[in-house]
Amino acid sequence: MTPVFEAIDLNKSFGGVAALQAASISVEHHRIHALIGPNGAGKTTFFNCVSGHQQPESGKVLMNGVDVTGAPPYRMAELGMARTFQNVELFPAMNVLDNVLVGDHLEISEGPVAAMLRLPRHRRSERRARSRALAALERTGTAQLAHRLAGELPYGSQRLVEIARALVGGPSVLLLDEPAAGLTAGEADILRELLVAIAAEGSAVLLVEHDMRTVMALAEEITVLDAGRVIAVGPPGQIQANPVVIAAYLGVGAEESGEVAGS
Amino acid sequence: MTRSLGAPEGTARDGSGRSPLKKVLVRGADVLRGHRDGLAPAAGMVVLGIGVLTMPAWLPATGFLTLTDGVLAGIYTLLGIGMVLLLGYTGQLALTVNASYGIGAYATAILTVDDRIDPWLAMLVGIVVNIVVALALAFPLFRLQGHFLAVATLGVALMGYTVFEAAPVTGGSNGINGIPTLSIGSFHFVSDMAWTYLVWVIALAALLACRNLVTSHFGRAMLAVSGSEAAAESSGARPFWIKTLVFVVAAALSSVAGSLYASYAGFVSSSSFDLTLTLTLLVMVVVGGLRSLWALPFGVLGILALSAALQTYGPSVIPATGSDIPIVGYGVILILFLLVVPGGLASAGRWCAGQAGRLVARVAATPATQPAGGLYGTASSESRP
Ligand SMILES: Nc1ncnc2c1ncn2[C@@H]1O[C@H](COP(=O)(O)OP(=O)(O)O)[C@@H](O)[C@H]1O
Ligand SMILES: [Mg+2]
Repeated sequence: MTPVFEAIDLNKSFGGVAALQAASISVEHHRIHALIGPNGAGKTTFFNCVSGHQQPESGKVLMNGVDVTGAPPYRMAELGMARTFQNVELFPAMNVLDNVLVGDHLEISEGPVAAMLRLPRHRRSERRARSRALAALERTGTAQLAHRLAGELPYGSQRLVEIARALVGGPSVLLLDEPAAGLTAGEADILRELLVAIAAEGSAVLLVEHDMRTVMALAEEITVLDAGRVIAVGPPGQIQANPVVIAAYLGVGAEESGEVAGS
Repeated sequence: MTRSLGAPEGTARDGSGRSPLKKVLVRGADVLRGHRDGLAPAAGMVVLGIGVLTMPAWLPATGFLTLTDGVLAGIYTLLGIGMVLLLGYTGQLALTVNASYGIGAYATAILTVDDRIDPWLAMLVGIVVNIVVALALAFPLFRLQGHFLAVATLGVALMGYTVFEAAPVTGGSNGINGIPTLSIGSFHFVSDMAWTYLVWVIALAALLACRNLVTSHFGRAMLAVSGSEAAAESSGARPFWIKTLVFVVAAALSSVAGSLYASYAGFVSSSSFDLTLTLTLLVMVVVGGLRSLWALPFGVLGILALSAALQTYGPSVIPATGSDIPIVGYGVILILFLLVVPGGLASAGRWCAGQAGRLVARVAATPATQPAGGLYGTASSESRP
């Protein structure tokens, strides 16, 4: 089976710093794949290079086996990729429901004239989008916030709303950059259940996360980055036992590994 | 677009088995608090429609405004819509309004002055030219962000003004005289009253259409672009196209405004299209509320009234002030509003409506302590947070 999403040998440097060195990953439908590594390992850069927000210097990005390297973010969205950002990027002046509706932008196909005239078919599209958005909010446990301004929400709620925005369009690949950072224990539970459900429905989930409990509990496959290089790939049991990983990452202190990092 | 699905916090759901009065109150409270906007556009249209219809009565009654101000207010409203969309919704400080307004005005002036073509057709030509120019400008301009965009568009604005002043066909500061008025069939728009109604029918239609636009997925994409381009784009909304769309809509509306102005005044000269216009509009839009289309006419009329009042009464209060006094006043008002009420009259209005809505909701939620058959009907108390 062709992986739904694949990145091969991505290279990216900032000035002299090599943020990614031949970094590769391959994710499949129905799977939760975790990307872990110490701070500065290049995880966020990896996301940016595959979502089109940054251009890799070399390497390939494939969606369903098709080469889409260098495609801009809206193109990746059209191809079924959705993502969240490490530093939550909501639209602060819009309410929560409208924020999530932006995630459904591509599902409303009517043009500006239809929108200006409020044609019946546009109204129907809007209504359908609205109920999808509310369902997405429901799934993230934030439906009661629908009419609050996004900028006024506590950090944890903002993260959940951002996840709702990413999943409302039914992405085939979902990239989450530290989604559990700043969540309360209750919110983190909702998140874990949600990710399992999303994967069960068929999406491929690529998860950057410092909370090892979440990673070990959810991921079927883990890729470990260190200084821009992939130092290990495998199921959680193997990764935990891998001496290279322990030295580079878990070796920082086994106790620390359980905490919610992302300071 | 109703928001009946997923009632937000504090929204009173329409329960069944409740008295009709209570239902009306509950609904009214939701509308006032902005939880439902199904009625807002209708209410806005009715209020503005009545205001416009009665203009011939109340404008002259002020003592310093005339029906000419009524016509100008409609024209400024058309111009202001573009600014609300660009600055308020999309967050793009693109200040080319004087150029697109001028293109519309000169299209009408040049093409109709010797009765060469029908003024309505000339208006259409102006729109087409403006759209082509806007598309051509969008490609270089919207590669720029923030200050760079503002400075580049000011360059375009100055270029436009210079062309209007220097091009052989525009008559420069001497202008073009004898532009015929508009007509529909055998009816010629001559009186200020006819012009007021014509201009406002167009302005209100544009307001309604753009209000529909901003409450659609396009409007959400505009706000998204102003909030976070990265997130907008990874949601599938292309910032470049959204900005270009808004820029084109703004240019087309300014073009109509320019054509109307030329046909109404019968005369155009370059001095109508300098940056004073841009500043005046900026003040009107900020006073109305950068993100409010419905409040725009109030901002426009408020500033027109203030400037007329200053010109009428200013010299007697502060001697030795000439016709420049409104410009000084604009600067003061702009700063005051930005500091004190950055949301403009719109946010003040929303706040008042919200307070009223809370009051109505409280009344609607009161259990029936009234005598049987009393005002509040059956006892179905509303639990509110
Ligand atoms: N925009 C940028 N400019 C310069 N250096 C950057 C930029 N983004 C990331 N880096 C550098 O690239 C490396 C990887 O960063 P990042 O991808 O954010 O790591 P992670 O997400 O794993 O913590 C770090 O050394 C960081 O300083
Ligand atoms: Mg990171």
